[in-house]
Amino acid sequence: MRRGMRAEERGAAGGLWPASLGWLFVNRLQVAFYILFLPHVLLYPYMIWAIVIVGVLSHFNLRLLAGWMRTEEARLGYEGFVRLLGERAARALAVPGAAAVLLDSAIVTLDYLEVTHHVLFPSAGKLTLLPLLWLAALYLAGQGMLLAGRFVVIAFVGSVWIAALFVQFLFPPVAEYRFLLPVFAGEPRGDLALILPTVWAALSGPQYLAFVARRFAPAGGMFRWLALGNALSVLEYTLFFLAVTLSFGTEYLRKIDYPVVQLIRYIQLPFFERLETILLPAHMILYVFLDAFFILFLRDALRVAAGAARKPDRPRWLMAAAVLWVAFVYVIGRFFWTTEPQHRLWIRVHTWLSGTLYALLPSFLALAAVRRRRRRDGP
Amino acid sequence: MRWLARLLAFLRQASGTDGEREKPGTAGVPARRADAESLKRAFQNIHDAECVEIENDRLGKATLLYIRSLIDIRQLQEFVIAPLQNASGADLRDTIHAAHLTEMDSPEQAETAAFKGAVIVLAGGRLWSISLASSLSRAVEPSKQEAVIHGPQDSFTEQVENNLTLIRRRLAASSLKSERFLVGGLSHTTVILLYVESLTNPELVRIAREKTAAVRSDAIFDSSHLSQFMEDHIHSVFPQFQQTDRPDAAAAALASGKVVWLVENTPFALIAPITFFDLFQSPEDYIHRWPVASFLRGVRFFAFLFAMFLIPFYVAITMHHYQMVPLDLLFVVLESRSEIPFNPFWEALFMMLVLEILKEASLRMPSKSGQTLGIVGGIVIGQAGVEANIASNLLIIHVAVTAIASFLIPNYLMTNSSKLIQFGLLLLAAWLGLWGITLGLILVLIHLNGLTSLKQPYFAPLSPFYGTDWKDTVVRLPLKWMSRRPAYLMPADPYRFKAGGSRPERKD
Amino acid sequence: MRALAAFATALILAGCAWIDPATHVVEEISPTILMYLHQSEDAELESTIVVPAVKNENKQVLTARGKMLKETRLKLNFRHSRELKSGQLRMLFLSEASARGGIFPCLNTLLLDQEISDRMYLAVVRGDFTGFLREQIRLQKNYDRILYKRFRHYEHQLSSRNLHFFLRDYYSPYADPRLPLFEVRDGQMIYVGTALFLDDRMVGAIPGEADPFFQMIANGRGYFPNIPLPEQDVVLGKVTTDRKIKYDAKKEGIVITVHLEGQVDEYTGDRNLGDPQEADRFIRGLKEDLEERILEMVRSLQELSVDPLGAGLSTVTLFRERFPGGEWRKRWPELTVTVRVDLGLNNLGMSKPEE
Repeated sequence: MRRGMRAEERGAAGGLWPASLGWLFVNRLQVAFYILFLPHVLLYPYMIWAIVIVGVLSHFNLRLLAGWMRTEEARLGYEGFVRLLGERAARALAVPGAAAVLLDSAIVTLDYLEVTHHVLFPSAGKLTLLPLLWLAALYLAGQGMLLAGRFVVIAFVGSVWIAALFVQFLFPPVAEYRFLLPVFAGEPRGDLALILPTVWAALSGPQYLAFVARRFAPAGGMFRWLALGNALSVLEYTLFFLAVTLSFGTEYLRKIDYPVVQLIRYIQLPFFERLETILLPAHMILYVFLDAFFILFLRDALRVAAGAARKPDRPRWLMAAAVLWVAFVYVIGRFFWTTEPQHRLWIRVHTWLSGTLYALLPSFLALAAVRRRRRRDGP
Repeated sequence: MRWLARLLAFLRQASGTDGEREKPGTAGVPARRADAESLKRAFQNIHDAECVEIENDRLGKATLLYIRSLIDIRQLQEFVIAPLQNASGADLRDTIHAAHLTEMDSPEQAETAAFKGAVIVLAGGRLWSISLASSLSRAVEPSKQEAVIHGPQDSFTEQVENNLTLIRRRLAASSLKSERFLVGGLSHTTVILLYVESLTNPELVRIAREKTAAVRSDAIFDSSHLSQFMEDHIHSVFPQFQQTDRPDAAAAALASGKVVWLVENTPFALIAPITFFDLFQSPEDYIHRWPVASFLRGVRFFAFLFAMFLIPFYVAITMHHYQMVPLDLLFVVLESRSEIPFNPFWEALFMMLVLEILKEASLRMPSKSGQTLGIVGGIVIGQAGVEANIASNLLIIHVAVTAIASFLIPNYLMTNSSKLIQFGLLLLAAWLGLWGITLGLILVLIHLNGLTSLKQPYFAPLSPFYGTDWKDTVVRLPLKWMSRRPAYLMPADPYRFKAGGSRPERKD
Repeated sequence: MRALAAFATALILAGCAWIDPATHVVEEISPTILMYLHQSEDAELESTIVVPAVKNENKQVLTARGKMLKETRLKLNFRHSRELKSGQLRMLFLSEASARGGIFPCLNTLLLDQEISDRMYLAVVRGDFTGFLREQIRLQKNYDRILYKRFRHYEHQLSSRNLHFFLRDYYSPYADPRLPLFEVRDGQMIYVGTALFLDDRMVGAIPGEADPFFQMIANGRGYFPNIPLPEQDVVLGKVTTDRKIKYDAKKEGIVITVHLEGQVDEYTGDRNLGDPQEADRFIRGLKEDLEERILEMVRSLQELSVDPLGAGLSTVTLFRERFPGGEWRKRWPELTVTVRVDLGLNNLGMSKPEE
């Protein structure tokens, strides 16, 4: 019966995600937050090369990730981690893991809420929309990891068309091609120490796939899908960078808070103007997906930390994770995210957190797996 | 004490027996003589229950029990009574050469058969049933719900055996299997489960069989009642079974790898598993040229989205996003809205409710008054409403266009479901503007993501993503290119034909 | 699990029935599409708006004074029955006095306001615009919409700038902003040229006669249905222009090349354009005249040391900026400018009737 079915169909039939979904995951995980933020950091035209170079580095990093995802330990999920690190270590590491997931998703969500508040609902409070976003994410998370993962297709389709609207900014009269010069800089200005890590963090996100490797149907080339997703993210970032640079120029760009949103407000279609009222909500589907994904991660981390990983899953874990998540986000948003410097601080925290995880996690896991294999197959 | 026995017997009947799967004739335990009495007792107070005794020296005494309103009297006379009276052998099977002569295992079985239009013959201590059902039925007419201009004009009727004929004529293959169930403790409705064995996923058939056998109800009068007992998600507004009265649609579904239920006493057959995108398909799509068909399908999707979003969009923009209004319209809207005492939200809600009232009333009204109502509703209420400053011109147009656009959806149940979604979106639009509408849309998408039909994902081929299935969802690509069956059904035989279009090889 | 979600939903819905305390319902607000700013002698800002009318109301022109923009806004709000909203603000007119005094603080305020679109048109007006507006609104209720349509109409032929382009030029070290200049004269609003800005202060204007030459080289590519050149007795029609500005490092100068293609729509001179030699001479004469006029115009820009053409951008190469920082502004007046015009007239058509 399974003859003649393609791999993706086999995957779905067995309750797994087809490997080809990998590129959607990678792309959306990478693009989520930085698409609004990155052009603000990349001020000079030659920084386009930063995107390309870091993209290539990320490509190689994904090779490590794919290597890890292919191993037997990855395929076993919790058991694999136990074999790799020992049960104690696995449970102990789940706590900082949960904290990292919480922090990552909290910052990303709060930034989106900040932008929405600033642009769409300036008279309502910043955290007013949080419960609604949370409910939607909880609804999706309640469907389980399998279904929530499938939702990435819908999240992708629902958010990728925004990039298409930016193509109009690559052409005159809005675009001034000379703003791209000088594209090869002799003495680069700008704080490279801040820029390169930010671009690296912009391409981070796929490291979380290391924990859901068992959900993907075993298919030969996982790497090519990850690489495709990475390439698409680089393309998207480049498109947005070009659109923003060609439209604003370096000096003007320096002064604007959210250049991408500013450009969205400039889009004019035959019957529509002021599209930020449509495009910013459209982004929401991405954040609902991410938050659901992270709440499920949090649930698993909590179960591992509490030692209940081997026991069957009960709704109380999901509820605990969801309540913990929304409480954490609320507390940060209410007390620690009220001024502009605090906002910038959190973004920096996210940059370093996400970038470090992306840099270290795949290599660490891949190395550990290789060491274990060597020990096993050793003398 | 007899009343107690009768009461108990009655209660046993009415408490809803399970749908039993009937196996074709098995030799059973011969009935005892006392069972004739139990049968006669079952027929008490049924004025058209008749009992005829025929004596024949070869055969002995044969008692005929039947319900006159259910059988064909002429056939009874010709094929049962006459041969019995002239019986030449001791065995009933030599005397009566009816095609449906079956031996009964128990009086209960005989009782059920009698109420299904069989004549029960008690002869030689054994119970037999001969199916002589009355042929009272409606003629095969064109479908009123799914009319097409080109294409087959026949549609199902209330007789399940006729419906089966219509399907068998279209799928003339031994692999088309049919299983009969009796559902409903009181109604004993015949439900026939159809599937093509060589290509349907056996898992689907198993689930279908289990669900049908598990239906607990006393009376099933329509296929939608049946579907509500078999659904995975009873609270969802999205129908999880497709209902059609077109035999070609049912046959096409079977040929794709789906399962079809034919239900007695209703012309609507059930099809499962379906996806969200199946609700937008019409049999006419395969008759038009493929670019035209694709265009029409696109129009249907667009009309669905348009119908769902137009009024919420209007409310969101006038209540929250005045900066989106194009300049020329801005002043028009300002002028027209300045006189109306209500919020755009209340205005829209009010007009939508009026529209619903009109629609419901036109369904109930006798046909002679229907036209008057159309005029009253459409012209008078709309026009007068605007002049009395209860609604604005713009909104009346929106409501009218929405009403028409919502009828583009081929699936009747979905039309009304989308109304409910529209009301929900209206609330969200009034509350949070376009952000609210998007939130509503996302909630609907999440809901669809988790919905299943016969335990198969409802939102396929979007989630899970099946690339090949997109040839026949939003567009309709040439039939020559659709050599594979829908992947989400996981058919046993994924290929309709090998590329090259030759006859498919028989799988024996 | 579902129960908790339902409970949470109920809580939220009950708690915040109406999330947004500010009202945006369209019938309860007054969206204005036009605003006029004037800085009076005592440094007070005067802002005038046109308030849209609804049934049984008249369209009004309201004015208020204050020290800061939003302050005047607040005062205007108090004078009207509905809340004034700037989301649909499409045109901002500035008086010449306020333009000369520096307009950046106002523009910055408007930029920061999320409701206002970047596509708002800016213009400088000379004369009593408030009185003019009052008169026009009295005569034609829709005058503000008519003005907006004029701007849409002008987009390619005259200087028409919106907030986005103005600020982009303002911030760029290699270009200076420019805006259309109108004058209120005899009860009409007439286009009289292009106002030139150094940073955010108006320092001069290109007069109406020189304006077509400016328009020819102002944007990279342009299309003009008609260019009248009265001194040459000719009106060129359907003209497409393509200008290129290059920096010549050896000569330390700018070379402006303009490629004009069009046809002769009207000719009232003496030459017989049917004769190839005469036509040739005519075209050459026209070319020289154009070059001279354009050069003259560019020199006047250099005198004011403004660069509305964005010529500075041509000094940036793939590898470096020749005049980084504010150096371009110092160098621009000293550069030699060469103008080359390529004139392609593909239909001369006219010939003097035979005598």
